[in-house]
Amino acid sequence: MPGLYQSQRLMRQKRKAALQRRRVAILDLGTTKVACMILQLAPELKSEPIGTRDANSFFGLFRVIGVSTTRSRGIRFGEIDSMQETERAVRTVVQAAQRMASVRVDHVIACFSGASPRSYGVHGSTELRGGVVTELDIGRVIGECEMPEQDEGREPVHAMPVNFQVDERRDLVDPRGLIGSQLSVDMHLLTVKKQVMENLLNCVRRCDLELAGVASAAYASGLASLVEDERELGAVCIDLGGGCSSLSIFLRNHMVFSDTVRMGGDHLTMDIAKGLNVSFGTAERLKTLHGGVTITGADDRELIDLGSAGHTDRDFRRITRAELIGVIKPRMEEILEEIRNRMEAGGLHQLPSRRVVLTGGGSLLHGLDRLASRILGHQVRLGRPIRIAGLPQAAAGPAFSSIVGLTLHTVLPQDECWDFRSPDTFLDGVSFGRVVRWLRENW
Amino acid sequence: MRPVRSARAGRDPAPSRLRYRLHRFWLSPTTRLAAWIVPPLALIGLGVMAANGQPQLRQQLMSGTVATLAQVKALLASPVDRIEVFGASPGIEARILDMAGRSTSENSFGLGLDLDPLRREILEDPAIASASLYLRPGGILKIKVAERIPVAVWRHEFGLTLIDAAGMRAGTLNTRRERPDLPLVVGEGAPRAIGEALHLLAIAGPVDDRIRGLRRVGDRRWDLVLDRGQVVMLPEVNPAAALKRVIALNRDFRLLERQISVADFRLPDRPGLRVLAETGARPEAHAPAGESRQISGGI
Repeated sequence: MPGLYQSQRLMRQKRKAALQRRRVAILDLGTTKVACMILQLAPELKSEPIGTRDANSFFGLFRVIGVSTTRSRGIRFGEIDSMQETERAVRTVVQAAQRMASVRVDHVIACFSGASPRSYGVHGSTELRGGVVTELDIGRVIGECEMPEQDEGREPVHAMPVNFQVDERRDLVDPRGLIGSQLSVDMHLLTVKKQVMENLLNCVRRCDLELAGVASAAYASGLASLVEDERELGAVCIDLGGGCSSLSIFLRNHMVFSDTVRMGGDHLTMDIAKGLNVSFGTAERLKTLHGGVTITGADDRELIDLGSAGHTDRDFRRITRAELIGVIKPRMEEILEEIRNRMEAGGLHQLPSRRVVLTGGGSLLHGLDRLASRILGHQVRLGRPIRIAGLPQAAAGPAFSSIVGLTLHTVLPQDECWDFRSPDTFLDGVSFGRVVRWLRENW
Repeated sequence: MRPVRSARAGRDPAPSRLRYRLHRFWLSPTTRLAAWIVPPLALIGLGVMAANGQPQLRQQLMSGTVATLAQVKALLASPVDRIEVFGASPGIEARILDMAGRSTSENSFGLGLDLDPLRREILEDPAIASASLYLRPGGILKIKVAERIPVAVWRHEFGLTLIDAAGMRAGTLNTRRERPDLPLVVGEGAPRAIGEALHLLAIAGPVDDRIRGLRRVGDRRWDLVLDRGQVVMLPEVNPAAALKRVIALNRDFRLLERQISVADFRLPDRPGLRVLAETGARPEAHAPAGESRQISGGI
């Protein structure tokens, strides 16, 4: 898997350069909104953090100095659909955030939710030459992992060593320095469409910025809204976004599965607009102000004024709230059922704790947690992203969980950003050790 | 009428690529730094160029600069060739001029002259209370002094000294005759109590023509010494009241004109008189105990 290794390494170097500048922009390209944050990193932030992370380890490491949000343009299903429009949206947010921070940023770390991610568990194993696990051995065992058979044009975003095994000892987080004879690793590999990644890279480059890292929005949301115990004992984070809803399963502080349902809040809005024959803007307003998923008796009597902002200027129709919910509920059920199917496929039933956390803008829908617990059949709670320094209240809601998670990922990246020694020796096809052996034998 | 297209709908919130790039360019650190440095430099440069363009203004500026430079140079290089003294009487002025002349001839360059030693030397003169020295362009050394004003002559075992109102030395005298206008004080510690002495002398104004001086006894009390060897002994505490009483007695009973050598008023309730024995006491000059009582009762 040399290609994976090289691309990861390249990204790591860019990230390092960004961290050295002490300033980095975080970009969330969503279907509904595009958000940008500018982080001021503390000088004591190490460029190679290793090991577990908790809420306290973020304290004082960074501060948000610029935030900006704009309505998304040119993005559908979490993928870039129109390059010019997306570029304008990115320019808008980056400029506004720069103005707020009154600094210029050059490096961007971005996350996106679409691009049909696929999770793979891959396994690699190698003999330990020295008897002690070194960084070189870890690099080698990651290199030994066989790439899954997949269709052309996919690229890995995350490749996390979820589980190290030295001989028969399993579930090791950091095997360096342990003694054994056989090292094997289980990796969680998340691949996305290469085209989407390239579009993203191109879009960022067109805005005179440099992409220093990408992450899956599902992973980032999980980082922000799951608490430590949930990440450790196993939980699902469901990010109900605008264009697509993504889910990520965490176990032992690692993401072990991720998938995306290409349905989201925009579909609810579309249904309302079509079903009630109102404009898209009105439908969005109706959804956010009066939307819900549980019909009660009172809803039959509560009349909602479509008002003059309806389909035409003289639209004085009134609907009951029950009608509105009647439009929203089936679609929401459909989304949740689809998520349930993906979750079952991801092996949620194997987890010791089957906690479900709903986050993202869609989770603000009234009464969603009850509906979700009925359909998903687990303990469901609504998650909000953790508070980070300098974040304004307006950007602290569940709709911002993926961008907040991405800041945490930037500041303390997990194992895929460990800088293992480059196994150049076998990348070149000739083992350096073999050269040494040859020299020793012949001289 | 409703506008066909609202202005809000027509505006694209996104910055154009040029504006975006300009904003980023403006925010880049080098540009920010340059923005602080370049405009002030440019302003100065423009000013210089504008001045260069107008020959008249340029000439004015040049001549002004040359004149100032010449002035500074003159100040730096010119020796002191005139010394002006203010506020000193002729004798003292001569002494100061002598001192300053010696000092400046040793070090004749204007600004190189250290004025402090000269000032200290001038202040060593007892007649001078304070002195300030200035160097003026053109080689003028200006010395302003304030003299001490003597109020009394103090006779002590080494000679005669002039005392000012603060009790400080204000000069010396060779003979008493040089300053007959000043009162004489004697005794140890007399300068320290000079304020009291002046007060007492003012009280003793009615017998002014008979006063020889004031004598400080044991550095604690005063004796008023009159001619004919008469002495009025004054108490340590509140001598002014005692002296007022003596003056009153003199006015009413001509006490001091009588044949007494000592009028002892050291204890206010027990005044005493010592009669001159050698000259042969006349009956009216002898103050019996009863009269003394009467006097003390009368006051």
